[in-house]
Amino acid sequence: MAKKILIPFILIGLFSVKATAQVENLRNTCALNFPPEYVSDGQEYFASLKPDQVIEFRTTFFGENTYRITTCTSVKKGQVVLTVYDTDKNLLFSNRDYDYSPYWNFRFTSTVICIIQVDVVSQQFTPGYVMLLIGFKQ
Amino acid sequence: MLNFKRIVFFVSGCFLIFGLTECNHPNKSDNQTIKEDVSIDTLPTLIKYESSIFPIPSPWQVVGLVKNLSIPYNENLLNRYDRYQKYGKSFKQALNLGIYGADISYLCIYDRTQEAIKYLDAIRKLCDQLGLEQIFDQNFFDAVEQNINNKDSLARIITKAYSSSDLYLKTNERSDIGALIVAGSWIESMYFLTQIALGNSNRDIINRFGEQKHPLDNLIELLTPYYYKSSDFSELIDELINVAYEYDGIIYSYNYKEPIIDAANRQITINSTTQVVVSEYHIRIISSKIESIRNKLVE
Repeated sequence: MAKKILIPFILIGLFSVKATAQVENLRNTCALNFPPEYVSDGQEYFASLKPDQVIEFRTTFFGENTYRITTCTSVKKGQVVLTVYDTDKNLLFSNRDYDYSPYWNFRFTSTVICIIQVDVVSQQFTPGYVMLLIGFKQ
Repeated sequence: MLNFKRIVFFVSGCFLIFGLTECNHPNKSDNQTIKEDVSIDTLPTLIKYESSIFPIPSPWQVVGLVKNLSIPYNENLLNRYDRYQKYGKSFKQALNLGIYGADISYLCIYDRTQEAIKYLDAIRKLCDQLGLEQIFDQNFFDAVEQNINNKDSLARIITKAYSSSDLYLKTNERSDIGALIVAGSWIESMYFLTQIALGNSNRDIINRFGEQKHPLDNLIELLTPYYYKSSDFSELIDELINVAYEYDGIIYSYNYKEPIIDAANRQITINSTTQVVVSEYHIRIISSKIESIRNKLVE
């Protein structure tokens, strides 16, 4: 009886430790592609992924600034697809055509609100997290 | 006897779980250990964050623009560093941690390092009160001290600490505190921008003022899940929504142009343009509303 009570507690505890550790590891991996000349916006964006799920959000990039967007995932053998649209859904960029390279610099001549989509492609779905770092160049 | 065994077994199991959690953060104080108990529920927080990413621009960007336009330093724009003692509730502590973060970016960009040290002390005290002392720890303050005359390094060190606290709060079911820090930072940088825009007809300042509409929408989205958490939250969100209504009167037009992709250097040049038309009325009314919100927060 005691075992029945304990097992879920232990599993939940272990799972949460694992989840936190995964996010920490992801952050360290992402940070490798975030050189010192880029200043983070002060937030860390991460989300867990389900099959066929695409994460989408809007952000403002100010004119006369260069930004770096770095993506990474804990999904085994997964590749992060980074796609950037404007608010009229014109495609501005996708790393799908560039071997899913995890980091890109975006220079904005004028302020533009962008829709950023993040997806993970992998041969077999395994649960995991995806993380994004955004920073502007000093 | 059997019941006693069960209790011992159960309590031991709980200690095992908490012990494992604690192993991940070896430098925690007792105070933080108590808070760490909550981290058993870490996973649902992560799930909640799906599809709810609301980026807010860094205060360093706003202040950098102001400095580049040779607008003189104005100490009256800053919250007083010794006010931190007045902030008894975590709501105000978190907001003012964000406010002081924007203030310190202002001071660093204007090379006011002596004043910046006083603000760092206030930040340290607020972090202690919020249980963030393991992020803004002695290593952080040593790094700041070593780079006190290098504003680029300072920007990196300070924003990294704010990012770390954001991650820590999100993974420890304290996203509300993280959202308030971000809100305080945005409100203070908007306060700088609006106060400067009131007495300045510089196009870049006015444009940047008008371009805050979408970041404001993101900030409201970021805070909205906590609307019913307390009257403090609901009042703040209502006031921000009130500002957003005024932003609806600002005219935006957007023209798409094909971007240029330099794959070898991983650089994309976005050539699309946005025009913003801001009337004097909107500058006045939005500035007044932001000032009222900000002054209430720093009281």
